[in-house]
Amino acid sequence: MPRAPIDRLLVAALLASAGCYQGAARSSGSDTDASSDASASASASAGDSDGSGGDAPPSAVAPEPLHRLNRLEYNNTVRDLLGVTLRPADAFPPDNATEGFDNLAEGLTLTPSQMDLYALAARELAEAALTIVPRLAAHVGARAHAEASGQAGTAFDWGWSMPRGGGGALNFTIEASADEAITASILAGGDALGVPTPEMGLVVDGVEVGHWIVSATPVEPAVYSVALPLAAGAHTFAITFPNGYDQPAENIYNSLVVGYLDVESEATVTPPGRTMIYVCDPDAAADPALCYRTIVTRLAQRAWRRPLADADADALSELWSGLAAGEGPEEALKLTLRAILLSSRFLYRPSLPGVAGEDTPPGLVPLDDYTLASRLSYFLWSSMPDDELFDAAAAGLLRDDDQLRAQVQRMLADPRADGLRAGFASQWLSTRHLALHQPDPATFPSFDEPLRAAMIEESERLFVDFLGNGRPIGEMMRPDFGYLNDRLAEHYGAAPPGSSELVRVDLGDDDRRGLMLLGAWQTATSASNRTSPVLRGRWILEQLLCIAMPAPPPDVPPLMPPAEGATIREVLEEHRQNPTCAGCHDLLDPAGLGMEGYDGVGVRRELEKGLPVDESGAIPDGLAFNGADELAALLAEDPRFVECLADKLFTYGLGRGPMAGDGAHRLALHDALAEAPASLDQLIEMIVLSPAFRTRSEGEE
Amino acid sequence: MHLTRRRILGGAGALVALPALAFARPRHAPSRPLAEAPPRRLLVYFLPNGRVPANWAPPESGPEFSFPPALAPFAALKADLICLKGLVHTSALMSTGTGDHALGTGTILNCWPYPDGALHGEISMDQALVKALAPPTRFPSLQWGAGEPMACDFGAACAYTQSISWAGEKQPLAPVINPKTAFDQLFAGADEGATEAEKAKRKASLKSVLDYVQEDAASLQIELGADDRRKLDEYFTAVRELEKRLDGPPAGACEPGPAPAGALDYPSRVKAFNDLIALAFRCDQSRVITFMIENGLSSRSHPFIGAPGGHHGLTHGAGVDAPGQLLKLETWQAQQAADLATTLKSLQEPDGSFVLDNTAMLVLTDMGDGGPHDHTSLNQLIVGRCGGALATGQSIACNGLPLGDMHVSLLRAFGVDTMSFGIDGTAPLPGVNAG
Repeated sequence: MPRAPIDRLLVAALLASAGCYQGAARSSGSDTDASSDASASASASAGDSDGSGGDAPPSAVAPEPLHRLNRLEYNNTVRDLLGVTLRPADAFPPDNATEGFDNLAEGLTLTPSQMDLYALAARELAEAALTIVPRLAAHVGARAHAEASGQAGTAFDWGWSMPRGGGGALNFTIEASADEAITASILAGGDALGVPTPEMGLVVDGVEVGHWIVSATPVEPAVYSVALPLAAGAHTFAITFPNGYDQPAENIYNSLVVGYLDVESEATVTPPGRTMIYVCDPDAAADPALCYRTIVTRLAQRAWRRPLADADADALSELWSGLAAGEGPEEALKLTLRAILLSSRFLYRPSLPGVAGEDTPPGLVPLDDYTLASRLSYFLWSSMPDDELFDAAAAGLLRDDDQLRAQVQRMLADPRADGLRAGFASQWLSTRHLALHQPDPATFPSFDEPLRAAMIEESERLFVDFLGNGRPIGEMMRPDFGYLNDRLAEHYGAAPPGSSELVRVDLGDDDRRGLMLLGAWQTATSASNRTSPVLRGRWILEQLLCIAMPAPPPDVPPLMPPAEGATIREVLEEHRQNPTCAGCHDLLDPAGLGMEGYDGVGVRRELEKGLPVDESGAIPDGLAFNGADELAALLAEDPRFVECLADKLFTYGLGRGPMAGDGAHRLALHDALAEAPASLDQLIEMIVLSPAFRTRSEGEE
Repeated sequence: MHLTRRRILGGAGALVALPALAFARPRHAPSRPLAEAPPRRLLVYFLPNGRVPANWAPPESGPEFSFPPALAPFAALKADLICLKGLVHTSALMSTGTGDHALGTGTILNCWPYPDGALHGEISMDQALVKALAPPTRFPSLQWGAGEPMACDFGAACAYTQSISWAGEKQPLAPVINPKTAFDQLFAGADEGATEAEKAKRKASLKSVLDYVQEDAASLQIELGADDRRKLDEYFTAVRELEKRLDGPPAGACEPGPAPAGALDYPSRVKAFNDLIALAFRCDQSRVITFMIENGLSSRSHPFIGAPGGHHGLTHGAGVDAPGQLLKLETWQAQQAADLATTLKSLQEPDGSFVLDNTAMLVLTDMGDGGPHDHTSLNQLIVGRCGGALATGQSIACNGLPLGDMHVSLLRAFGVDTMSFGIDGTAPLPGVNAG
C-alpha cells in the first residue's frame, strides 16, 4: 500500500497558537473551567470583580482525589509511626511533580516497580521496628576481611586458611561504645595429616581468652565460642594457629580455616518502635491472642490514620492468627506489620465525606474529622497526625474554627513542621534543584559541597524564620536579618560571622539580604558555566508572580554563536529580534537580565567580559528596575508576590492542582491579604480555614 | 483555545487511521517454541535532546553505508544494526500540550499526543509488547534511568520528561534511578541459607499477606468515588505483579555478583545500569527493559569528557565551541549504548547464539536536531536481529514516514500481529522486518 508522508501543512493547521502572557487585563475574564483556572489565578490580582462574591452562589468544591504518599511523606510517616530512622523512600523513583510540586494527587500514580520497593521497605521496616538487637554486634567474614586488609594466609572456599606452619594471626578491630559482656564466636574447621589436630587461639589485646582443639573439618566446620568482658573502647582480636605444622618433604602438615568472627553483647537494645507497638504485654496477658489483637488494631489505626471498623479489625486479627500458627506470634506480628504497610489504606490518603453541619454551604459536605486531621498534618508536617491531633479529630474539635487555629499554631511550633521546609520551601525556592545542579568546576572553581549546603540552608532557614517571626510576608524581600556561615559570607563578600554553622545575623540596607539575593535559586537557574537570564526570568515570573509562561513555539531558531566578547544580554537582544521569540522573551528576558549583577553561582559582579554589567530589567506589567535590590523593593510592595505565595501554598496544602470551583476561594484569600498584611503562619491559617480545605462536594458520583 | 483529545482525533481522522489499542495474540508465542529457542528481548536505550543529524544519520542508504562521527562507536556492529533516517514524530507535532522537550520525550514511545500539560499519556510500545506477549519472567518489564529530576518543561507534568514508558492513560512508569535499588529490586528477597521447607513456608505467609491487602483494598474501594476507584486499579495491578515474584530471585545458576554501590558518579552510574541490563537479560529476570541515559531536557554537564556545557544549552548553541562539545557528548552517549550492545553480543545463549542476536535494542532519541526542536526528521537506530526477525546491516531512508510505523515494525518483530500503533503507526516500515 503506497502511502504519502504526513502532510506537514495539515499538521501545522492543527497546532494551537500558544500565545504568551498579555498582561493582567487580558486574562481577568470570567473563565471558570478547570483548564483555565491556572492562568486566571496567575493574574487574579487585577481586581476580578465578579469572582469574589456578590450574589453569586458559593462555588462547589471539586471532588477530592486519592493521594498516594510521596517520598517525603512516606519517610516522615514511618518515622512517626514506627520510631525508625530509616529513610526507605530515598531509594524510590522520583515523584512526578505537577504544577511545581510533587505532592499533588494527580501526579502520584503507582507503578509495579514502586510496589516492589514498598515491599522491600516494609520488610526492612518491620525488622527495624520490632527486632531486639544486641547493643554490640559485629559479624566479620574472615576471607573478605583478610583480603581487604592484606593479611597473611590464603583464600579458601568459605573462609580464610591460616598461614601454613602457624605463627601468623588474623587480626580484627572491634569497638565497644560501653562496657559489655560479650560472646565471641568463630566458625572454623581444620585438617591434620600425621600431626596433632590443629588448635586455635583467640587473643584479645594480647591476652589469650580462648583456646580450642579444632576437630571440625573444612567440610563440616563448627562454631567455637567464648564469653568474656569487654571494656568500652577499641580492641584487637587476633585469631591464632599456635600448633601449625608444615613439612612438605615428609608430607606431614595441618591446616586451619576460619569462616567468620562474630561478636555479640549480652546487653540488648529494644527499638523504640517496639515499645510503641507493644501496647500490651502478651507474655503477661491472660489471653495473649486478645493482647495481639489489641496490638495489631492499634497499630493499623495509627498507620491508616483512622479508627478501624470492627470487620476490618477482625480481618486483621485473622491475618495475624493465621500467620502465628505457622510462624509463631512474634514473626506473625512482623508479617502483619508488613501487610499494614502494604495496605492501600496506608499508601493512600482517601478524602472521605463527613456529616454536614448547620453552617455547611449547600452542595458541600465537610470532610470527615480524620480526613481533615490527615490533610492538616500532611500539609504542615508531611507526616501522619500525632495523638493530640487524632484525639481532637475523635472529639469533633476540628469542626471549630478556634480549635483549628490552635492546632495550626501548635503544629507549626512543633519540630515536625520541618516537613513544610522539606516539602514546600525546597520546591518553591528551588533548593532541591540546587542539590543536583552541577556548576562547571573550570568556570566556577569556588563552588564546592560546603557552599552548596550553606546556600540550601540559607534559603530554607529564611523561609522557616518567617513561619514563626510574625512579620508580613512582603518583608521576605528585604528582611533585616539573614543566615550566614563563614563559607557563605566569603562567597558573598560579606563579613564572616565567625561560625562554620549557619547563624542568624542582623543585616542592614547595604547588606546582601532577602529572597532575590539567595544564592540557591540564582545558581540553580544558571547554566553550568554561565548565567541564564531566561531561566532566571522564568523563575521570577513563575515562582514569585505566578505568571505561567507557555513553552517555546515549535521550530525555535538557534541562539547565534556569540560574537567574540558579546554579553549574554547582547545575545538575547539579537534573539528577540525574531518576532516568534519576542512574544515571550520580551517578558522573560528583562526580569532575568536585571539579575545579571550576580554570576552563575550567585557571586556579585560589576563586570562581565570586561564591561560594566548592565543591570536594567523589568517585570510585567512594565515595572522597570535596576538590579536585584530595586527588584526586591518592587516585589515587596507588589500584591502579586504575596498572592502568588498564597496560591502556591493553597495548591500544596490541598495536594492537588487548581480545579473548577477553587477560584472564588482563592480570590477570597487574595482579598483578605489585600485588607491587612499577613504573616506566613496567618496565611497558612487562612488556607486551613478556607472551605476549600475543609469540605468536598456532595454526590460526585 | 484548548484542543481536547477528542478534537485532535476528530481533526486527525482524515489523516491517519485510529489505532487499535487492543492487540491480537501473537501468532506464535516466543516463550514456548518447539525447540528451546532463546527468548526475544526488547531494550529501549533512550538519549534525550535530539541528535545533530549530520553526526547521527549515515548519508548513504542501503547495505553500504558509513558511520558519521557521533555514531562511530557502533561501526563494529554494522552487520547487527539498522539506521532509520527521517521519521516524523507526528504525536509531538499534533500535541497542543506545552513544552517541545516534554512533547518529544513524553510521546516518543507511545506516539500519542496530549492536549495540555496535565497528566494524560497512553500505553507505550514496550508495554503494549508486555501486554501482548505476557512474558513469564519475574519482571514483565523494567524501567531504569541514570538521570536525576531537574527542571521540568514549561507547563508540563514532569512525567513527560522523566518517563518514556507508560502503562496506559495517566500511568507513567517512573524509572528507578539508583543502580543499588535496581539491583535490590531484582535480587533482594533471597533468604540465604533457608531450607526448601522454610522457603515454602515463607512464601505461603507472604501469599496470605498479599491476599489480605487485596481483600482489604477491595473493601476500601467500595467507600471511594469513581475516580479514586480507578486509581486503586493501579494498586491491584501492582500487587498482582508482586505476587508473581514470591518465588524469589533465581538461585545457583544465575550468580548476580556483588550489588553496585549506592552512591556513584554519573558515568559510573550509567556503566552500572549497563551491567544490570546485561545481568537482567542473562538471568532472564525480564525481557523488556527501557533505560533513559538522562531525562528529556537534560542540562547535565559532562566535564569528564571535556564537555562542561549543559546538554540542553549546547543543543541551542550556548557556550564556547558548543558544536564541538555536543559532538563529544553525543559520541560518549553512543559509546555507552554500543558498549552494552557489544556486551550483549558476547553473552552466549544455551543454543549457541548470542543475546544480541535475540534482542531488538532501540537506540531512541526524542527529536531530530535538538536546536530547532525538530520533530519532523528523527534518526533512530535498531541494534540486534531479534531472533532473525529484523533485516540488519542497512541504512534506510524513511523520508517522512511516521515514527509509529517503526513501533509497528518492532512489535511485529516480536510476533505481535498488528498493523497499527499510536496516532500515526499504520504499517511496518518498509524493509525493516526480515522475510
